[in-house]
Amino acid sequence: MRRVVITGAGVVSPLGDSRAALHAALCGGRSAAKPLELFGDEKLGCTLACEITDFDAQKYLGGRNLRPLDRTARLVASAARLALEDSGFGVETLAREAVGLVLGTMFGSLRTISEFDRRALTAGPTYASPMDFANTVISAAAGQTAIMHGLRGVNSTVSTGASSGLQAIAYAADLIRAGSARALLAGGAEELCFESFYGFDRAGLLCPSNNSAPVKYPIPFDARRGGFLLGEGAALLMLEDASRARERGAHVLAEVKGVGSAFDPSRGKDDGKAVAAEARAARLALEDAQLQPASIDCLSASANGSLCADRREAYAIADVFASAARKLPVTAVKSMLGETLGAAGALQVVALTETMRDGVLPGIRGLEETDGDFPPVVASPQNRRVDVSFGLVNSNGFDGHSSSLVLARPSRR
Amino acid sequence: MNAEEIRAAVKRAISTTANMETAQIGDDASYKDDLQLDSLTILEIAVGLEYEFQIKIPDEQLSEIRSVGDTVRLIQQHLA
Repeated sequence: MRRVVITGAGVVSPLGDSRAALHAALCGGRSAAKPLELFGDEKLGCTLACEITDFDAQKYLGGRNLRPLDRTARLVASAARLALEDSGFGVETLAREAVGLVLGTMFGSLRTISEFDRRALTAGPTYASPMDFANTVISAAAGQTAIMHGLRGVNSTVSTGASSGLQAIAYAADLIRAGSARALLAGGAEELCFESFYGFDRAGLLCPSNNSAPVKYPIPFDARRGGFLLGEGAALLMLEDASRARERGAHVLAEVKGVGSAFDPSRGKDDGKAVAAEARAARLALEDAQLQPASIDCLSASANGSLCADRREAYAIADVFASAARKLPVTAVKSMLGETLGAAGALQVVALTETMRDGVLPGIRGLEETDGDFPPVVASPQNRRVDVSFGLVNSNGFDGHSSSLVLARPSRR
Repeated sequence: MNAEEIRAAVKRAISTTANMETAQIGDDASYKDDLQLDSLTILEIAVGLEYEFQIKIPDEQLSEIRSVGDTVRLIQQHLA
């Protein structure tokens, strides 16, 4: 079977727009949380978010007309531009090679869908925006990005809730391993918008902003945690057939060694089944990578500060890693980036490639004491020195989806 | 409303939708040849103008719009 390597990454996030900037911010313990600027409503229980307040797609995409692209598409097209540059794919290479795009997103652009409906309902169907209509399909961002950058390979949108970004990378890796594609941009994106924010806020899942709340920020695995903050961003990785990457002399950031995914049909109603699905995804990824749990040197957790989700992940880690869990350093970057939904898994992969490069695993911001209500995880607020040959990334959704991916440091020659 | 005011509104709509300066848009510029707009953008401009002027242009007339001049004349007809 063909091997799959990562030869570049493009990141647009509230903590920077390159893999180095993202890693520096995470290792510097910087939180992206700020009072909301994109929208506001006094009825919201949570008034903080990890928003890209200075996002200007024109900076990445030049003087093109960006009107046909909504916020999600702008995030994706910008990340794609950066990933193409980072991996050394210029106009000539793109003309020779049919590069594809596999995008993971939970909501696509819920904003555009809502705006289209709003205008049709308030002004009448005649006045609904044709341009918004074209962007109401969930594949719009991937399509617009391919049009803009001339990506002629497979164009897929994968939607598996908050695990979409990692699942997209897994799907793309499988396509390359099977010989169906040689070079694919893969990752995820999610925009911050009132419509999805309001849903999570009403569900009581976000960190309460009122002064009586013990903590207003997400602290994954901490005993005081009270929810998560929503974030936004996009991360795309260039995945290539390893032999092809070697031929063109590409710089390899990491190898995608194994992937696994699972679904819990109880959709979290049954705690045991939810934990079992998460554990199954991780075991499948390890089996796919032909590795024992003890070979994993660090874990990038999906934990985002949720009472329930963090506890389940801790149980799943204990189930899969057993005694090896006591020596497994765990980080949770959502303590600083927020829950970026469809972008989350891809952002975690980007951050982990940087940890592999410089041996620094970011701490979990704000962590004081891990919750005694679940099996212990080796987590710390401080950064740790790690020597990572193999790392595991977890990405779990709110709706039963779980994905895991094993990343390997490129072999030294 | 006179033709000049309508023309200014048409140019404003093109400017916002297609991201170009109004000064770059000729009084009788052709959407495809001069401004290089695609059909979706032209439709978006037309629907935006229908909304602004609170008129309803039949589909068969909409598909015949080729230029700024055409658009101004069509809006004038419907306002009359």
